[in-house]
Amino acid sequence: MADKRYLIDIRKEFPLLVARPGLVYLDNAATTQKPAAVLDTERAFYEEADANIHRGIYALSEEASDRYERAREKVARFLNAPSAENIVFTAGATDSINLVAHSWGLANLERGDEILLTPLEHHANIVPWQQVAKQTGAKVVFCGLKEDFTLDVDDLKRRITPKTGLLAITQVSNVLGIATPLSEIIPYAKQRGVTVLVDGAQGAPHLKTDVQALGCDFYAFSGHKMLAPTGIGVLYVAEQHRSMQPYRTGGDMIEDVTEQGAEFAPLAPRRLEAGTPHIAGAVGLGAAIDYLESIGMDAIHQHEAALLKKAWHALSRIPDVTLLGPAPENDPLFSSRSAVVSFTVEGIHPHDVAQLLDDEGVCIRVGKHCAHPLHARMKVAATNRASFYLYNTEQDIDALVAALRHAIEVFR
Amino acid sequence: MNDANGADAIGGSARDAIYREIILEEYKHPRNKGLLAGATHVAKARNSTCGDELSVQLLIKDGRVQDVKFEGVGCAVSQAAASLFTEHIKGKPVREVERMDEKTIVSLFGFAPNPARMKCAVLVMRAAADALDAKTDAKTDAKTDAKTDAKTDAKTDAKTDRE
Repeated sequence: MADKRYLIDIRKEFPLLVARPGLVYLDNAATTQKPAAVLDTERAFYEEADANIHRGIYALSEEASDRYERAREKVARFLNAPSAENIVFTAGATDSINLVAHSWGLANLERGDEILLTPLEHHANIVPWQQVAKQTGAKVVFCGLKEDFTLDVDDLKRRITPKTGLLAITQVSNVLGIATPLSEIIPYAKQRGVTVLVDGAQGAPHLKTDVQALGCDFYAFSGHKMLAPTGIGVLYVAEQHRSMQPYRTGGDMIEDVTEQGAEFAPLAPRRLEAGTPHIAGAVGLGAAIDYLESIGMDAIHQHEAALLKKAWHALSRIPDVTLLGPAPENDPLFSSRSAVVSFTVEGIHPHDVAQLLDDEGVCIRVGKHCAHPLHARMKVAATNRASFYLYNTEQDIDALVAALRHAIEVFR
Repeated sequence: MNDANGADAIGGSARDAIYREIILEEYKHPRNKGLLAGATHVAKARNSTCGDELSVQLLIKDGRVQDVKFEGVGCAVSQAAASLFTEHIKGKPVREVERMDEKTIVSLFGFAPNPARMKCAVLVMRAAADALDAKTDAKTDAKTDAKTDAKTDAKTDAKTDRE
């Protein structure tokens, strides 16, 4: 059973977790630890196949290109994209969204248009759109949230009007772990001619994702939140957008250059990948996908769901703790939820909580988690966030709870 | 875990003791907290990552800090630092206060907070430095500024909440 592997074997496959046996790493929504399989694959690329891609006639360059392109194929299969041609490698989800903002946004949005966002977005899916709005005269519009901070879907639908040019929406909240009902929202938006970008940074690592079933135009995620190296990310580009204007220009993305001008490669991915990419990072991402699939995304999700339920109920028994978002049993989208819990502790500032927890070896994130608008809506200055992944165990939750009780004791 | 002093070298209990004895006492019973009537120099500092905000009000006369108070919300480290620092600069010449830096805070605490917490610890000093830089000499100006700031902030916050 998958469970056995999680609880007994998996941690041994993460060198950092082995080197720090007492560490309780609960900041997986920020970044994840890397398994030896990923580190070894990245290293092997440099040791066995390092050359620039798409250029050399020599065999070594072909080998490098081959490893890079095989990683692209793995990503395409992982997301069920129609083909590897729909996958653009970027530096991360932020870079992917900036790419769409500049390439698609600046060319397709104009004064009078609206960019519809949700208050659940990470700054990476807010700030680029504010910049596009400034440059084009389009307007950024936010939909509402319900009292439990889940998306107000009726309000979102009401705000989709003939003016709406783009809906940019997160798959899973990086603060609350709650999912958005994409299978309901995206068809509604697409039927009304709205282009849809999904921020999958907190989705792809935890949920089996099918971009064709979702029907979105763009889907962005980061490698480092799913066991891969930092500095590598993905943008899925639906077929009809493969010829959009390039965001960056330069080498590798051209057909021909003269002193008078340049002719760009006609289609993504080449058209949108200027310069030497993070080849080893892409190869590492391919290895991370292999690793995740060897366990199974469904098994990972089940493991996380069990941890989330346990963490939620353990924390809710601490009198001074207030959990944010719907309880698992009250969340109709629980089956798509990530194992993230955000909470406040009565009378203790999150910075103090995090420091006292760190003294016990428990790493959590505190602050506003790059989601200032959501915190303003929740009317809290800052929150404590524990986020779990496949290598976390029930003992990690016990350690979190014990450290939290201790912190409360210190401040009493 | 990444304390400059080496978190691994200092046991959890030792650091808890620091929390208990120095910071917590100042946090629970802060000195110089409130509004200073007749302040000549006023400024606010904000730590945007955590939302901490402190205002410092100084009464400067004859080149000395005659009185000082602070207001604001924040973590135990920023509040304790505000309490210790305001107490420390009271009566001191402005020129001496202007020369103070992170080392001042470290000596008041008796230990160096890790880099992330240092930002909390120096918030009060940043506000005081801004206040002294502003050179708001007229009493009325200081008052009006403080008032206006408070109003604008309240408005901005309300707006953010609604949107």
